[in-house]
Amino acid sequence: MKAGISRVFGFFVRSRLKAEWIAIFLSAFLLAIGTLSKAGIGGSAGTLGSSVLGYLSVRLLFLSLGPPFRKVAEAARLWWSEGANHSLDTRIVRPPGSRLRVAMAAIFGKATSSRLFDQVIGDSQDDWLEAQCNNQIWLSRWIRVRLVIEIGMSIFALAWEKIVKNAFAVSKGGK
Amino acid sequence: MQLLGLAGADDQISIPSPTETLVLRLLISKPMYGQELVNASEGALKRGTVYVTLMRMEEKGFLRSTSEPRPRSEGGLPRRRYEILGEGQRALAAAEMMLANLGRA
Repeated sequence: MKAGISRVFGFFVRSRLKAEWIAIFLSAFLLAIGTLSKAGIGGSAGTLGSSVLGYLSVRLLFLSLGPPFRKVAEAARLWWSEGANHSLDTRIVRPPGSRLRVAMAAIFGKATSSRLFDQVIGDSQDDWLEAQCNNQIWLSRWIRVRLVIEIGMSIFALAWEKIVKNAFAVSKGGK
Repeated sequence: MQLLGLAGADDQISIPSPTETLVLRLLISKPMYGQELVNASEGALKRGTVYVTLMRMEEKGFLRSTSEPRPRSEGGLPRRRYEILGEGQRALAAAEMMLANLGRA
């Protein structure tokens, strides 16, 4: 409960960048909806205007909510940590692939996941940790991207192997 | 991938693919982790596909893998150490014999 409150309010405090993204996505969404609805030239200008307004309103919302939310979040964190001084700027960083791992286990099963995806993710996490320790921020970001590519390659290779195996079995059965 | 009948119907040796042969060659000296195999292959094996190959080779009976949990101080996911089996050694010998014959021809 305490952790939940701290997390919710902390999200608004730490999320200036997230607010930027939310505003951009919202305005892009409004623009896309307006364009797809075939509104014509006048309508398009209106859509563009409304998307800019959407962007500004989301930014304003986050900027105005930031300071009061910071106080609540700090109080909640202090309450949660029982007096220990944890700064709101300290972020808990999740190693790459932790959510992907759960998804892969759900899709492909635990046996395949532990033999295949867990190994790829584990190796990437080692590289990522090393990059983090050496303060190589861009390398650690690239490792996150590379992990997704590697998982994609693994899925493709696994699917290809199944296709070949099944084709071989069918051709053998056909004879 | 293919089955080569060497002596009789019951005594068949599975001929490994070039990638499998490379993995077997690397594993003949000592058991290794997947990442070690990728590093030792000098770019011939990719991390995205090596584990699929290793899984297939395990199904064929060329290899055996054991899951090794990391020490508490290190943390992280458990790694698998791959070890060549007798079937794998026979397959490697057959592949090398075949390659030698092709070179001679």
